[in-house]
Amino acid sequence: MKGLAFVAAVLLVACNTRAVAPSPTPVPTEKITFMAGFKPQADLPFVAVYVAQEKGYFHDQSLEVEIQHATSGEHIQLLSTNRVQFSTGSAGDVMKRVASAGVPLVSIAQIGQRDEQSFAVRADSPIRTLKDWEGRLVGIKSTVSADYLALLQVGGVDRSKVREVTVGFDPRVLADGRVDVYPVFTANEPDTLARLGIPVRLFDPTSLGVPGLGLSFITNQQMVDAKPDVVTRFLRASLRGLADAIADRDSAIDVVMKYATGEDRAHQRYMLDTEIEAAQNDLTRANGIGAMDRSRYVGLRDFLLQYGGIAKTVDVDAVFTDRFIKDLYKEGRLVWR
Amino acid sequence: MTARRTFVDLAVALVAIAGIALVLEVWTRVMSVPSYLLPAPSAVGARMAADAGLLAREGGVTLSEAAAGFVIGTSVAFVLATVMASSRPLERTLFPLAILVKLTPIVAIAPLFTLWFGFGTAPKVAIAALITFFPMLVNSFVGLRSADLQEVAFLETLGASGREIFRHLRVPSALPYLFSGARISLNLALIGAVIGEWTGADRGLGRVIFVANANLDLTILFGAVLVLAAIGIAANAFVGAAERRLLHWHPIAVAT
Repeated sequence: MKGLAFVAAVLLVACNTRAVAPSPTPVPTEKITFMAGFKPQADLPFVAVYVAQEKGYFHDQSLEVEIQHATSGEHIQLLSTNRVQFSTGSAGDVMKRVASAGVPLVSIAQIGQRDEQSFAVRADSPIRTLKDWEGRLVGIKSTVSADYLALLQVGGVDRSKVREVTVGFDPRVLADGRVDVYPVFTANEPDTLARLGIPVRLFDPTSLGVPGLGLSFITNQQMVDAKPDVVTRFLRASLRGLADAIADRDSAIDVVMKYATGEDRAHQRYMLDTEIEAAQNDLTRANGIGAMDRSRYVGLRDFLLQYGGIAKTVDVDAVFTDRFIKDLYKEGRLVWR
Repeated sequence: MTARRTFVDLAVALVAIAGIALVLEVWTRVMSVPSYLLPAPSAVGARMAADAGLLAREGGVTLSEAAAGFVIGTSVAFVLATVMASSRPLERTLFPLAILVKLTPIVAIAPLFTLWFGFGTAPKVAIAALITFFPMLVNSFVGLRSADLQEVAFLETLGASGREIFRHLRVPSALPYLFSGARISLNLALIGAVIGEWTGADRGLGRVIFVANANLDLTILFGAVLVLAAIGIAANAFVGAAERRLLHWHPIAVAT
């Protein structure tokens, strides 16, 4: 018995010794808000944050993260006033808002490496090429997009021969046969239509050479300037969550469903799979998920300028920064500390 | 006397609006509020002047959709109210359906109207009609039921038919309620048209607001909202004038 007490005492001392060993100065916990740019769903940046929260990666980075979801685009204004510190937005949208309204937004990690939108036709449609759009009814969601105009040019389509109609955001207008071509969010609407019994074929701008980019993590200029360490810690935890989601998609969907209550699990899985595929290319395989390439932002800006997506030019270096993402990876692998 | 009172009311309203605009102007300038959060009233005014033609055209589209929806919605409501007022069993059958219409979130079902009625003005008119339906139904029903029972009995002793009682007693008794319903429904019709335009339109103030919001272009957004408000005020004034003219014998005409 005495022997046991002695061993216990030795262990206690040993543990205590390890506890008081020199350690890095503790970082004070920072409270931040992440507002996803849309409702809870398996958009890849959202999943990254959900998983990081679930697994305590934010806590490990001394961050207390409140997760919110935007319903009608309010995340941009909230981000600009620093009521929200991190959000998501497509690289093109960020550029438009900086160019048109001077909103101080900065992309800090490029998750989607492809254009978010495609143009869908029913699988049984006689439309096979872009040129076939002539004489057809093409749906426009709200305004004529630069992607659309670029596709027309790529396909040598005479726009005057295309009938355009503003149709809103309900893909059932394609299922219903009210339009022949409908712009869709590639990650979810093709699956929505397939579930309605209407499989579709896609005209994907990225595959056709149009320089689009998908969702990125965004913050405001104030965070970049005043709290770069918080930006780094947020991204580090989120990217670890993202890596976990890619490695174990079923578990990631379990986490997603805690937020996306009432959503269809299989549909969420479709989204996750589609977005994981869209997040990877040669750039990310060499530099890690979220990698940014300045030349692609320059290309995107020039493309938006050419097709009227933005009315005036914008300083690319004010819209994105790769300083954080570069620091987080070593030889394409996320460094966790 | 009435003209003088109208002038004074208008002057007070304009002074109040000018005061609010002045406070906002000073606040946005002193605090350097970015225009994507809250534009200065002067910037909104300048934008409205620059885009006056656009706002007038799109306002005309929204007004025409709202007017058509108002006429259809209130007409159907009045007919149904007449049926309900004439029969208790029908009242008990139809009123729950009317409540169902009232409780249906218009924003949630608005996209379906495009699927049902196609593109163009039809779905906007349908939404405006739907949203105006319930206030007019309730007001019409209560109004038609408000006829003095002794007066009804008196006319019946004179041998008046049900149609004559309806025309010469029930409808005149219901007029104050009908005008009250019309005031509410008119503004709702405008809102209904705007909601319809949000779900897919290439014309109208709703579309201007939708696109402006997406582009964070708040000067034109507030400009469109002000035009919408002006249309609403003008419509209310029109109803008020008609009410005073038709109800000159009623105390309510004196009060409004």
